[in-house]
Amino acid sequence: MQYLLLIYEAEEIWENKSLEEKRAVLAGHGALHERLQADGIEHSGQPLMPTATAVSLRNRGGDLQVSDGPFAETKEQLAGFYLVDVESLEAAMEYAALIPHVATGTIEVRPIDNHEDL
Amino acid sequence: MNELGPVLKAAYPKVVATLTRVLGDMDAAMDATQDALVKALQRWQKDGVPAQPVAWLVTVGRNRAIDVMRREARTSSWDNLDMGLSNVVPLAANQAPARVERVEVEEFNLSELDDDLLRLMFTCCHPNLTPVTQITLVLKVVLGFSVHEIARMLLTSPATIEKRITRAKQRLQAEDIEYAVPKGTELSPRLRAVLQAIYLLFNEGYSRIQDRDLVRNTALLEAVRLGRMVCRLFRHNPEPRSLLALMLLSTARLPARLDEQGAYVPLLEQDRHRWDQTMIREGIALIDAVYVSRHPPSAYQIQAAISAIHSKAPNADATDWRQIVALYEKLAEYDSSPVVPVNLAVARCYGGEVAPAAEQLRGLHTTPGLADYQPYYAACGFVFGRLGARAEAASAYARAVELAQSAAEKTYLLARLKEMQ
Repeated sequence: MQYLLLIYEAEEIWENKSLEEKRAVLAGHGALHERLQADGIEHSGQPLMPTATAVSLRNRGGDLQVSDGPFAETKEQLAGFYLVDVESLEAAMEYAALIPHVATGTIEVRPIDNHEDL
Repeated sequence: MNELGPVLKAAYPKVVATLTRVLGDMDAAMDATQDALVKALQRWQKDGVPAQPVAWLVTVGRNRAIDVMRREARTSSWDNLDMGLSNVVPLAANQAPARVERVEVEEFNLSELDDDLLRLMFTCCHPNLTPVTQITLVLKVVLGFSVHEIARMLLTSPATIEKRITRAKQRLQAEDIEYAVPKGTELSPRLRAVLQAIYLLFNEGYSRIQDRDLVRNTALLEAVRLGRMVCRLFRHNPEPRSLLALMLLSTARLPARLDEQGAYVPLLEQDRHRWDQTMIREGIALIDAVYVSRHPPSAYQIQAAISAIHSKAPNADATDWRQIVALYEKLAEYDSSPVVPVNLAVARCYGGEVAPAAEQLRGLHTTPGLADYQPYYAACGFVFGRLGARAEAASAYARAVELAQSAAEKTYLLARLKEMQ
């Protein structure tokens, strides 16, 4: 079963970190990657640029509207994600809890829907 | 004093901003900050810099302000007594202003201070003041620059700045404008001045760069961080993002801006492998997002676009000068600063139009604001040199050397001067 682990965190938290603190967070991601590899878990993941770089698209009645900024204006923003292929929600949560940002933001765990019934 | 200087200077704006919020009075906050700085100079020389210099200064400044308020509370109730006597009269607890209490260092955390800084910037940019006065006030009150520094940044005289600040304070006082944090719709009309102040702060950090270690450049990092915060405050306004893009694209080049010996390296001679590609990617992503959303262009956007052309060129020879010239011509429509035609002339020179470029620079000779502007003379030296007018180039470089702000720039300009002699 595949799960998407979505990392939500206020952007200021990352911006206000010192270089050493940022490197410590990256080291945490490195450790998680190694752990997933050692456990034989298929996975991928990427960090995202700040929401100021986002554009949002809508097509209403053939009229494509492009607006700048993220879709949702929330206090915490989507900052990155992991995609993991694991046996259970518990296993997904176990890895989610190892994402460094769990200490400063929120990790949302969402099962992937393959729409195999369609 | 020498090693404390940068620490105190970096702390100053945050201390003023926090004290203004705490005390509700900008003038009192500035006085209290001055007191705290004096005390820090005495104490830190002996004991070293505390772990949280800003919190230390805020606490000391706040306590000083409380003492002053208590004293004033006394003098106003007994104003027939002289100060010397009233100072030793013990004050009953209920006579102290209720809102001021002594505070402990732990009460302040960084994110709170950061918000204060931005809040104070918006407060200074009161719509009853002219834009240039708003910017002046932000630079003086919020960012703690001296009158001389502000005069140089705004290409005017210290006397003008002094007058402008005095008038602004009188005006704010006369109209009884209190320190009120602007909200919602009150913010937008103030945005332009806030952005310009952030950009001036950035430029100050950028031009003063003494070593390649970005971490030590507090002015520059502060400007980028303020830029990010303003982006979040105005999510659908393209200008903050364009300014942030411009700052990131410039900051990306810092590691290449000085060579191993600490000499200044101009953009076209820089080792492009040293450019920070992460910042360049984010800068380009920002202006891409602004561009596809089809906002009317802004000066920051055009400047960021110019910067991006340099960022995208794999080497100096691959620079698309025609596009840069076109963008500077466009920029002149949005930005009346005399710096724009100077840059346009340099771009034209690189693009092959050497004689017209030299003509343009000569024509700017009497432009107010450029008389003491080092980059103007450096540009003249370069373009006149390309033209083969060596004597004219040498005298321009000589003037640029006189005006150089940093040792690195001076070394570079002296070398160019020598080539022309």
